[in-house]
Amino acid sequence: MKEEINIGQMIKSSTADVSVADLSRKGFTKVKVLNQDAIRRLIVEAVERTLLARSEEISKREREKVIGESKATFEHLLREKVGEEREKVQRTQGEVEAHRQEIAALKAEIERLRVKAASTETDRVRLAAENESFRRLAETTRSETERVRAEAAQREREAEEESARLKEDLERERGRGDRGEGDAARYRRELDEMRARGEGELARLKRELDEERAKAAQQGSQTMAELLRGLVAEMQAGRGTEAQLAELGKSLEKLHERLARGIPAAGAAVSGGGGVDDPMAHIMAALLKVDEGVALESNITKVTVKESTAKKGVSGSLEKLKAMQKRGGS
Amino acid sequence: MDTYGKVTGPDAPREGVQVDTADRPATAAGQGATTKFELGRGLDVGTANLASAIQDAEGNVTIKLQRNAFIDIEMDDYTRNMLTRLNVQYVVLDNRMIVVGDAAFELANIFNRETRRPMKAGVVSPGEKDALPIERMLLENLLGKPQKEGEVCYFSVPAEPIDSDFNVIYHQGVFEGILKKLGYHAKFLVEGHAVVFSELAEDDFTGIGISCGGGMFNVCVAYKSIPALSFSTSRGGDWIDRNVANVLGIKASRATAIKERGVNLLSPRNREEEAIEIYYRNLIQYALENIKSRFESADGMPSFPTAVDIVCAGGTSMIGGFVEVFQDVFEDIKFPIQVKNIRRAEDPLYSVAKGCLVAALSET
Repeated sequence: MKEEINIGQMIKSSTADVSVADLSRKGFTKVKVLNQDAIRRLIVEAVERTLLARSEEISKREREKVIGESKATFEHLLREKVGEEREKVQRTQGEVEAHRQEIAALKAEIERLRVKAASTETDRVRLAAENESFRRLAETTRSETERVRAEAAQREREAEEESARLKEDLERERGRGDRGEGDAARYRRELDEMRARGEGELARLKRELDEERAKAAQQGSQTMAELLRGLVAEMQAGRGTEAQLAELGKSLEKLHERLARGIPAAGAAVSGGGGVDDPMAHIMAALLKVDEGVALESNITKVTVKESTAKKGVSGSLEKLKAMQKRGGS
Repeated sequence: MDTYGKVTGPDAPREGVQVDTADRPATAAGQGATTKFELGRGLDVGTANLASAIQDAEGNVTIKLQRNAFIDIEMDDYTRNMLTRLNVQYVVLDNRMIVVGDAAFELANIFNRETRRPMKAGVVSPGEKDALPIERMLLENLLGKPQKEGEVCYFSVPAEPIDSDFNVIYHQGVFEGILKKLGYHAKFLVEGHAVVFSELAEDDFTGIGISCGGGMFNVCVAYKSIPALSFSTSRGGDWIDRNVANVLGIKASRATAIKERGVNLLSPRNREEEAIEIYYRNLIQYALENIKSRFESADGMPSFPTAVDIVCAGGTSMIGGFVEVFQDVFEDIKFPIQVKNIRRAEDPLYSVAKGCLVAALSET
């Protein structure tokens, strides 16, 4: 390619800078200004005119040369242009692909959100059902409360009526009260006799208890555990009659059962202060605890418990097991 | 633990059980006034549920079921009256009103609270100070008085655990004491053995019974009704509930309710059900690996001449897809015993109570 002429550079190198003040001092009050584009246009016009004048004189060979160069230039420009367009197409295709992938990702996200929304909807429906259930429960409770209140009011009325009736009865009975005095005196006498008999029995039991305590005191520091160990040793040694041993065995078994049931429950109560050192305290506390027979308030026996009937029973398994046992035992 | 009988014998038709869920009013003694019942009771003392079984003269088995849970609420006369009218059981203990059974579970869910549990991991809960009086009342209500002083009542106990350091002696003694106090001749039977009695008659009581409970998995390998090996692993349905509750940020009682409302492990429908499925699979994996390990280390393991059945019972086995997941996990483990079938008990929740009933009736 030919080197292009730099008009601006040429003007700059062919001219000198004169300040406006200098021009003024020299008497110039007006100057004509030519800008760079105007100079470029003048040059192009001059060259075109010269070429036009010379074109009439251009030879065939030069024309063909010019045409050839122009053609080459055109093809070169065409290839450049086509290349640029191809690059543009490829770039556009890449962008389309990126957009396609982006759309697919968005579709997946939409699907995920849709599923989530469905799940949320399920939860919402469930919560709504639960709310409905609670509402019904509250409704039932409210109506039940009303019913109970009404019943209470009814009972209060009935109690008042009953009270009035009893008062009337009492007044009537007072009228004939004297007749009952004889019976009351008899009952009092019988009661006094029973009390006297009871006190005598109590005194006898106290005496027996004192005797037992005295006997226990004579045995010194022997603990109950030692006593039990002694009894067991006695049993193992075979002393005493068989009947006595059997009786003793039963007693020990009962005692063992009571301890097994009672110790854990009593232990918690006794060890509240930080543990119990004496094991006998555990045992005695357990025995006492078992005998307390604490009754708990409950409505458990008043309400029904879910009960089901098996359509087929265990008879087959039972018969088979019994048959096997019989065969195994024979 | 228990060595019940020493027997051999022929085959017998399988005794399947289907339960009619229709409620029936119960008398205070726990039985119809005019119905004549056989002597002998079965009692499943489970961490999550208590179930009693009794058989009438015609061979029908009656089951009473009670959730082994309670919750305490404020006490006042109004609440007391309302609870009785609404057929809700309560006990007053130390000036607190304690609602027991299924109602406790429902109230816990409504009030977003946890139920209190008399039992934990298969035995009496050491941390629950009100456990014993509550258990006594629940059992009294389930069993009633014996028909005759000294009537035999077999109750279930867990076998010794292989993955925890505790024994069942105290637990066993406590329930023996309660039943004796009620007038029964109390005898115990390990849970897995009870499953063998109720579910493996067709196989001459030979095979593996697993009770998948709330607190534990109880396993019994039996040959001709004799237990060759019994043990337990200390994870069950409660372990699932606790973990699901943790990951979802909800109460364990709520997790139980979700679990019981009809989940299928093969097709979880949401995040909650997915959590349940994950922990179920993990629980089954844990149990099977422990069972395998115990079998491989056992000296007294019988070598069965033919392949045997594994029967799963208990409330934890009732969820949809349980057996399929169990089979799936089982296939990945080289099990030391040849297994023919893995199946669920026909009536999983009542299987242990019925097994105890079979043991009790066989003594009369």
